[in-house]
Amino acid sequence: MARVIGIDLGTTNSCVAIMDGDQAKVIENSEGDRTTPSIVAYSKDEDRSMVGQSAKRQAVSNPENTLYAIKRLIGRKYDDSVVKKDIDKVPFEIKKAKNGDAWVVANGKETAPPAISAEVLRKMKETAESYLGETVNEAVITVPAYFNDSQRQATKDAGKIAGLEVKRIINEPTAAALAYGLDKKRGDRKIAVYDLGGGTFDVSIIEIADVDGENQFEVLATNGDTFLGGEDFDLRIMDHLLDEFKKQTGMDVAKDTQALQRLKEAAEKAKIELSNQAQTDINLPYLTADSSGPKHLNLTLTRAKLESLVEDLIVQTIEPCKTALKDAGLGVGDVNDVILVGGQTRMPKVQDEVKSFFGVDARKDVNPDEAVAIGAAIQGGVLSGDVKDVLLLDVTPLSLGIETLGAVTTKLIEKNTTIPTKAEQIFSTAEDNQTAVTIHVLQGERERAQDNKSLGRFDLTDIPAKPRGLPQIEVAFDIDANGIINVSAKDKETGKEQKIVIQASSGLSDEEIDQMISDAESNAEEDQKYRELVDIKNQGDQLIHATEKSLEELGEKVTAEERSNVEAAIGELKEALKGDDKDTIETKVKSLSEASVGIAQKAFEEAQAAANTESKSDDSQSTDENVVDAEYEEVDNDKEKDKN
Amino acid sequence: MDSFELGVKVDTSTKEGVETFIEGQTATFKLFQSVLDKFLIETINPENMKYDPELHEVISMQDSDDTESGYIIEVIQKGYRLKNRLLRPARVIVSSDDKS
Repeated sequence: MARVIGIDLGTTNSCVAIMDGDQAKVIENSEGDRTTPSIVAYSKDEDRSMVGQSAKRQAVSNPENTLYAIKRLIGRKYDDSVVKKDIDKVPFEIKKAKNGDAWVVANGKETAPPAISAEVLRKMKETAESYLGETVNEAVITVPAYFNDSQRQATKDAGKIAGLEVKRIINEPTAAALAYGLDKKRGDRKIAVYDLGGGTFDVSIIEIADVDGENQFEVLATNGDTFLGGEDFDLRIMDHLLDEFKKQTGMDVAKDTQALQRLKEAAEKAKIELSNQAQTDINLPYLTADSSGPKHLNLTLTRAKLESLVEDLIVQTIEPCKTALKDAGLGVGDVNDVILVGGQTRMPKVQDEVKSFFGVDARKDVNPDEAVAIGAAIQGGVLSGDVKDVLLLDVTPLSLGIETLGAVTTKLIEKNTTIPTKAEQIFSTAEDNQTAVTIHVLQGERERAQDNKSLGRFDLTDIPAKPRGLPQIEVAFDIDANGIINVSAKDKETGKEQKIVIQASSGLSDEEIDQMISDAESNAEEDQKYRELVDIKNQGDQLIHATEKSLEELGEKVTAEERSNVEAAIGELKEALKGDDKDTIETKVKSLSEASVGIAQKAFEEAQAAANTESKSDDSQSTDENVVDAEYEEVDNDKEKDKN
Repeated sequence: MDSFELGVKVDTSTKEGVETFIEGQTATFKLFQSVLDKFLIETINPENMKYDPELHEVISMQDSDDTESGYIIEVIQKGYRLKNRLLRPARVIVSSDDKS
């Protein structure tokens, strides 16, 4: 069976994990980090994209083309209140697409959110591939439990654009519970998953049932706040620092982007430190300057002060916990375990509040940044057959029904129903001799049809003319494990049937997705070429640097002829490095390495001689092992030089 | 580390003490630099070079008459890399394109 990777596609950070034997393993990306910022940037001058850390690093220079928190937009309409709120917060442009969806504008090009998220997913895919040394085509991707069908479908589309077949979309709290669940003892239990990430807060109540020795996961209820996360905590600290700085120096640096950037970092760093320490010093020398000279920020922040700054934010998370418990039909005492997910839950105050609300100690033995990806990988393992004895049940986040007489919603499937599920109900006509009915599929909890989200509609025609109430029309809903809804209506008398598959609600047509896939592929090629160019340029820079250094160090030991040859080669390489022609640079790098073989050899001999004298003089202090160590390193050096 | 510890012990209340201390610091710095060299840790100091998001983090943008846009005006903090692995990006101020 092919390998199925698990991806936590987060609002601020994403994480990828695989099953390695019977253990899930988080994979480090090419920069060596276990999570990757969900940031995509398009550079202004060159037509290429950056993902993750590099996109984050250049954000200041290119804010309008640096796209982040795309998860808040994916699968949403432009008129959605969340989108409206986001528009005021982000520096990039959000536009209304022809179909009413929220799209973003980057480099003057209107792009659908799934195409942006696909860039992040592609990076996660490559991360897994470079670790595994094989192509990965299948994935499990997690989404918040409250995501509706269009958001789920849009996330699936993103996977498709990234070249991944999304085997399953699973809920983040379910994944987190899975990450904890495998090592657990058997028995029924109810779990609260408290997920306070960088940009969003979610709480879900999950039931793990022991069915014939198999663990069954079921999401009972979910709630949260899309605009509450660790970054809000950072902002509070930042505001505090701004105030204090103003008090100390009388200067307001709120408009100074460079100072703000440094304050933001200092705030985050202080916050992290205060999770382990009672107080921390914040030192920002030369933060700004006025006519009297440079101004420094220098203050001590205590944990107590931090807690007072963010207390109301923490309290804000408790209300959704209450609602979720109520929706699940439970009291606080019914929860057996609390799982903490998201980096912000490392804050002791958050843990205390959660504990005092639920009355149980929160479990934190799985890294809160990685639990969701690990759970996704486990689910991937289940799907590929690597992991057995776990059965996963998801629920519909919202009720489903159809519009009936008087424009009211008649629910066929209640919210929080375990999927896959089926429901059937017989309806009839409202008028005498009515020959057609319209089946209008709705999602939501409201009574009035117009207040709920319309998922689609279709007509069933050619119903034999009869007095109202006589024809029997069977409407059936069928939701599969991926949350794809099939709705059918059948006239029992004639057997005539009409149906609709509700899944294309991400707002993208197949053609559009295909176009995005090919765009993404051509981008990948360009990126690859660019990467190669950068690598060879770096290699050239390093070689010049090393050679010049050797020339300088060796001084008279280099013959005039050698020197002039090498210097000429350096000159040519420097010239080539100014351009972007990979082949030319490669040739020049080669000729310089050839020209410098002699001096590299001499430099090496010198270095070895120096190392020997050094180790001799060190003998009084160091042990023999150290000497051996030094020589070993020199041998390594030699190998490196040979490679160049 | 040993040299740093010895350095801290130097009496800096006298002028000679301060001079010894500075001398010691300079030597320690060189020693440390050679350790970095030995482990192939390279300093990233991209003054006047073109901005590269793989290696540099933009702290701010500034107009500059002398520097072409997209090039680095000032390195606020040097970065380090071990072969191709970035240990810490250099933090830089980049020249902006709007020439006012």
